[in-house]
Amino acid sequence: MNNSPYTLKPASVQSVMLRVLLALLPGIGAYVWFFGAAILVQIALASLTALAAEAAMLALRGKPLRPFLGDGSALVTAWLIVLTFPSIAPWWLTVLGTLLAIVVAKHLYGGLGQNPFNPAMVAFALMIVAYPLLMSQWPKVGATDFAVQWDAIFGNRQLLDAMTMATPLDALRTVLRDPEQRAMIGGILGLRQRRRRGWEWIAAGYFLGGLYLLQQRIITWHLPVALSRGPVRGVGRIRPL
Amino acid sequence: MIAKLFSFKGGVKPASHKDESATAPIRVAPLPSRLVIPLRQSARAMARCLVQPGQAVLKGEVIAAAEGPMCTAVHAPTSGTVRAIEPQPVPHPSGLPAPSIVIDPDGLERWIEKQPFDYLAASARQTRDYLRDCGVVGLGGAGFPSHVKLGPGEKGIETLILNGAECEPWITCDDRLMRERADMILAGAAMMRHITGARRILVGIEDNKPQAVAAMRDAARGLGDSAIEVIVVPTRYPAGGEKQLIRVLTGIEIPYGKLGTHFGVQCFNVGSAHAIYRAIAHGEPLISRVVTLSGNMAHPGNFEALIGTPIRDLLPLAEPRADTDRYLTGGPMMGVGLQRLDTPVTKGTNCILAGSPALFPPPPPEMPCIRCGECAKVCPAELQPFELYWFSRAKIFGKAQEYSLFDCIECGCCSYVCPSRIPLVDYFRFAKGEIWAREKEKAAADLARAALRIPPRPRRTRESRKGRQAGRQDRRRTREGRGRHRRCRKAGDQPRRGRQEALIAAALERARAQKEQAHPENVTDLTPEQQAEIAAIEGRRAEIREMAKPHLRQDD
Repeated sequence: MNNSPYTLKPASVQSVMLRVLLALLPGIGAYVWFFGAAILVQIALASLTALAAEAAMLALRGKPLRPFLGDGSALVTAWLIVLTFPSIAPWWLTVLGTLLAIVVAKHLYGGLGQNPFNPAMVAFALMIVAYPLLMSQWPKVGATDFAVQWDAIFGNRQLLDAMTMATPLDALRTVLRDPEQRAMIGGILGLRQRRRRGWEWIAAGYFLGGLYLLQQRIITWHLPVALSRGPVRGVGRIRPL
Repeated sequence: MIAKLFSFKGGVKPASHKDESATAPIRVAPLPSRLVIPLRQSARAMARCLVQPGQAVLKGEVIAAAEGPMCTAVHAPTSGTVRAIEPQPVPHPSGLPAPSIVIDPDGLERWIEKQPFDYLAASARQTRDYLRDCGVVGLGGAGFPSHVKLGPGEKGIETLILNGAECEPWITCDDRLMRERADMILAGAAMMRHITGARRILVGIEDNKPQAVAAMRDAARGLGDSAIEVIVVPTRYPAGGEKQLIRVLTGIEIPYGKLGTHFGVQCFNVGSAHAIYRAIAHGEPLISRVVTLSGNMAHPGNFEALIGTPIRDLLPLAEPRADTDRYLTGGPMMGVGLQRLDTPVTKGTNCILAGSPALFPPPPPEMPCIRCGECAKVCPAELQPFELYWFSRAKIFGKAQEYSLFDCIECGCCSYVCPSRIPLVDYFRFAKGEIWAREKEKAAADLARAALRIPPRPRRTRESRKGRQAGRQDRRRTREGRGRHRRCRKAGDQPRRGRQEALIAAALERARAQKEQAHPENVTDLTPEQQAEIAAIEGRRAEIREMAKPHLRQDD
């Protein structure tokens, strides 16, 4: 016999996670539009890996499979990994990142709710340290040839006709270290303008998802405000140049 | 007159389910074949039985007298014969039987000679004593004696609050009472105002009870009393919690360890005002109350039942459906599961809910906490339930207390919203129970030690005292430095030095409590002899420890 309260709000971890996934859909849609369907291949790869790793770890830890596998948290991790990795990353990079996220960052710390760090972000940090080159090869906007992308993921990466490398901010930082090159900054900023097309729409998609999460009261305004104040301050510091 | 409303933090909006039982007028429940009246009124109060088995009693006759400050008299709910004075099952979470008076009704309903009480001529004290002897307690559920609450308290009562919020889902007994007997409730409130010398009366009613609001406003207009205000408050559970309602109506936030009277506010259930009116104006002691029967029932409604009516006899009035698998007393948020149906209606029984697997489904399996913070958002006591959960679960009770465990009113909002379906309130009840048990143990050990008359420590010489004091002061200084940031809010307006001392004392207390947590396994279910033996051994140990102390001190 259980105790009061006897009536519960129809809420569950699963519904929270599914709504988070739903909030990612507009961003993914924009991604597909500007960068092709490679991201969908990556999502399938990461999702399958995440679920398999989750099941294996649950079995090893002697936990019931059904409630935990169905809670959707592994899928959220998988999708976040895909969205932070380049969409044309080789398949094993995505699989390895997902494995690290689920096995190490999630289950070795105690599973759902016990992870001190976001598993997807742990995977990103580990992979960018281990494979900086592969993690910074991004497709060019509009390069949506699926066959080429498929090859990039599963085989020959030489066929790619265009790739962007380090992000503008990184280039900017490098340049700023050298006083002689500061004069060139105007040119770099112009470069940035051309390159941002597409990404803005993806960001708008994420923004839409964020509004949905706010409306669903899964997050409160404190989260985006607290997170965005930091970068805004950082930008403020370089503005005088 | 429009009063400015305040708001309490948190709260939830469960489906109200008021319509099921609120539409039909209050009906009088038929006389049962047997009445069981428990003598125990709370953990601290047990009435003294005045009758013998076989004795004939009249309706309203005193059958047990108030014993101690927190106790009220007990009356025969109808005329008949005392059959027995024996332990009977009572509605208590433990399910244990408690001493009760069993009465066989004679069906004649012969009253004692009813005499109205001239409260205008009597002193406040005399009126309070009269109410105590009429057995009047709070009818909101906790059953706190009204004569105690009507006392002047710390600094007198300025504002009297009538609680008609009735925020728990399903329950409508106060709603019906306000609709049907508004004038009696307000007459009772006016009497309470006279006793306490309060200036104004605020009646708080949730906005999902428009008819009750209208009835109470009509009655207030009829009295022509501008000091009575009926105020509509937003429907949000737990708006009917005492501290929450006081905050909404007056803006006063009552801190932990303080009562409404510290701020000149006192809060009563509308049913209590009605009972006070009946006692004073008609000389009728509290022998019946309105009980909502609802939930999985074919004909839910409200019934005026005699105190002591077995719940089993009441149920057929509302016809529970066939798939009913359990019954609760109280609402679904804070109610208690009934383990037996032969337990009686008590003065605190406001509702009996029939539950079915469809209505109150068994909770899904508990998942790990995902730290979403939902529980903290809805906590009306502004606690952090997820933190309390970790500490309660790990049995770090000192920490739990530091996070204000005892501010928790067990309203159930956190459990209600938790997406991981963690029964948070259960964890908090467990932690509170453990802490109480430990405090009891400690008190018992202290008593045993005192009984053994441990000799005082050898007198210190002036030199040794000086050296030791210096050392102690050093230690205290560092401790003060550490404790300063913490818990300043709690200590309130004490002078700084006293507050720091209190902090140190609290820290030492916590440390001791944590040390005491290391318990051997087999200390439960001991016989009194074994317990006495253990206490004696512990006493001797303490003695030795005490004697060894001076030697230890010299070394450090």
